[in-house]
Amino acid sequence: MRKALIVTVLVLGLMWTGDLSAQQRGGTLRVGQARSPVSLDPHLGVSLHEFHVLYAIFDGLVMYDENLGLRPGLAESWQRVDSRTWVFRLRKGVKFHDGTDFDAAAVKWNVERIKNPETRARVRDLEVVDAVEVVDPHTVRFRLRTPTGLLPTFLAERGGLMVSPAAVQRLGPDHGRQPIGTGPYRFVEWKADDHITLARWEQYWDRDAAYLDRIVYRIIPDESVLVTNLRGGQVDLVMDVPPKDLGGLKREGSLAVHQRPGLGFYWINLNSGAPPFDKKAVRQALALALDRPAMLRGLYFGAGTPAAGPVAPASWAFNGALKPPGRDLALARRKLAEGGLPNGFTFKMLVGSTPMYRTNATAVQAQLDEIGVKAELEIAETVKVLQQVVARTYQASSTIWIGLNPDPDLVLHPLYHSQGLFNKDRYRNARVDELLDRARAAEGQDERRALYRDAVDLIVEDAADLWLYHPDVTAAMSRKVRGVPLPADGRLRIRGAWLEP
Amino acid sequence: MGASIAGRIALTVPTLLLVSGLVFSLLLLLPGDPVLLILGPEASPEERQTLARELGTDRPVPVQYLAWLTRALQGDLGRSPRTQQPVVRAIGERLPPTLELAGLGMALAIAGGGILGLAAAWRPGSWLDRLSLGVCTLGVAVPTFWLGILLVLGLSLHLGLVPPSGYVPPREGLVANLRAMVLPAITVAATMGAVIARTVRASVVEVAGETYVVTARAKGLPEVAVFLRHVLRNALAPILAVVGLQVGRLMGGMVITETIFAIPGIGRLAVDSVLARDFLTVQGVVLVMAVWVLLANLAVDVLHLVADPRIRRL
Repeated sequence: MRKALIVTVLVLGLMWTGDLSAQQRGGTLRVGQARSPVSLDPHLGVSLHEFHVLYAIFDGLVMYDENLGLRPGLAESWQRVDSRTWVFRLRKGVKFHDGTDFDAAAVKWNVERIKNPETRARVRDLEVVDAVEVVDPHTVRFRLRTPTGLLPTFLAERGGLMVSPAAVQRLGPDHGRQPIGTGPYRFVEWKADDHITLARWEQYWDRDAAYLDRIVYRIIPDESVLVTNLRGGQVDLVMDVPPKDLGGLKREGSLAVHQRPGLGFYWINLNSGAPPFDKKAVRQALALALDRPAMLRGLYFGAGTPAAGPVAPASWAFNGALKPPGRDLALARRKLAEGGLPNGFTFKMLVGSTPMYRTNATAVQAQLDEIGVKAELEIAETVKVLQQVVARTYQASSTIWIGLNPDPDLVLHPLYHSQGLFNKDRYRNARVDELLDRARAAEGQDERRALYRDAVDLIVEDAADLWLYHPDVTAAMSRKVRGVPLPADGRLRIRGAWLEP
Repeated sequence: MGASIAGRIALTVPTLLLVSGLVFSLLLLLPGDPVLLILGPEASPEERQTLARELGTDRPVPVQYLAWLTRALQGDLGRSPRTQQPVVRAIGERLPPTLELAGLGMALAIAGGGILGLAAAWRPGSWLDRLSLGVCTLGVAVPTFWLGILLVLGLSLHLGLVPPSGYVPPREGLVANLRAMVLPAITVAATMGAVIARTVRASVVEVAGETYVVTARAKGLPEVAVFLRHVLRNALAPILAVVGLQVGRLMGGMVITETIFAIPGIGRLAVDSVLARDFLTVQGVVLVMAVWVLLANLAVDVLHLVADPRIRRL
């Protein structure tokens, strides 16, 4: 008892010193990651892991806090003037790493660059913007095509990361290789497939954001070797830890492992625009044939949450009362009969070349087999899968939906609105359309939450797709690394990070 | 001899043309549209058409190939639509680590394989011969990726002798560079060394049984002279041929070693580009690899001429 008390006091004491010790300036943080960015131009890339680097070099007009709430970034405040007009007030005295000024003209230039088809930006969010007007050097007005309350959220994503107009004009296509932003760290060097080096931007507007002298991102493509580098102390921090290594890393005393529910999901995308999945009862039968908790445990080392629908537990619109359907083969068979296919059927499932897609597909195939539904797996390059999904010449595909943001609009609208970016001619429910439209235009979060929950109830009742599980987001780091939060989007936020000497 | 070498060099030009044409048509057989990959599934048909026109993928294949060839002959391999980087620069950045790894791996394989093979041939059937056979069988059988990971775990994580992965350019310190290269070079050399060792053994044992070797010994020549002048020299031709083949194969196996040890080399560039349907980069890399294989074959041919005077007279 006394021993326990002493230990508790000691532990608490340690925690206190940890919290109270002042942030240290200096040092080099070595980040290890398996995948190399393709481009560091925030408007041109698409890969999620690029954010690990982008957020160090670039500031958003709007930024996320640790809970993915919005907070001021390069814009100090914003205001919705009417349903289609927003005004943003910009921070004064901010400079790009090339010494040029950040101002309203730069914002206008950036948005127009993204909207120019010749740029080939993959930032579709800003299509909602009709025009940006410079009110004065530190105020811009956004005029929208359609009313949306989501503009600040869009401006916290790629579309709000401001690049230096002068640098892009000077460097042309090379800007993606030597990016110039306003962020806490400036670009120093990129040795292809090897490392990217950043250094503190001494003129940064927030002195409490940039404690490190340097950040080196080392690209180590083999996951086992990446983890070995972390265990051996050759790198200090690894994001997106392979699930199989989480257990082992947690046992290492010198490392801290962070893990929390993420926003995305592994799923079997069903083409409900064509037989056999145009029948609701058939889709429901499939949904009832799966044991999601067992898949999560067996295939993903338990690093996630079984999925009840497309909105993840990490989202503010998540409905905890909604549970994943339990496995019920008798009911599944009845549903098949109801759908007019009592003896089961055969369908083709496209599987991308990523190993997890294949593992999930095989497990689903085995479970569906028990109700007489035969899935023929067609393993193909991810590009080919993408092509057939776009052309709607597929029946089902095994893939992942990467959750970007806790706002449910960003998953529900593209996937389940009849006009959604990735849904055209697939899932249709007039009631869902109406709820999503109303939620998009609505103002307060409470009102929107209620609308989204109703929409999700309908989508789940329709069994629009087979949602399997939401993978956790993870990071593992040396205990010397401090001040690195892990928000539910799994992106590395390096601002405020520091190293214990 | 000079004319013979010149002839071989002249042959490389049509070979390169053939290879590049073949690769170009092979790439078009790959499923997946590069345009879709660049623009994403959300792009409209008009956007896709515009990009296809810009990349030239909407034109007939022979026209595309000729356009590429014309520019390639002027030293312009184009700009990757994926990374926006000039292909020449992308390859230039990655060539030195790959060449260093290939060179070190080859040196290690020739030295190790040579010693192992000669040791086995010294007394055929002895315990040394059997040991050599065992080592070689392991060397050929063990998959590269497994050996690589094992070396990382054993020599780096547990013993801490060398860094687990990464590349240090020689100008940043030769010692650090070599330390980082030890494990990858061993990994590259394992299979190659084993094959060389077996060839050395077979060739030397065969020549050692020839009558002229017996004669040389009967004349009373010292063992070392018999070996160097009569056995080794005559055994060299098949060994050279096998080494040449291995050098060509080296490039193909490089990608696994580069991936495991995080070496920013040309193998990884090739694989990444194929997966991303970055045809321009793939074309460039294949061209470089073809040149490498041709040069390796040329070098072996020249060495043959030097080693074996009989060929010179043909």
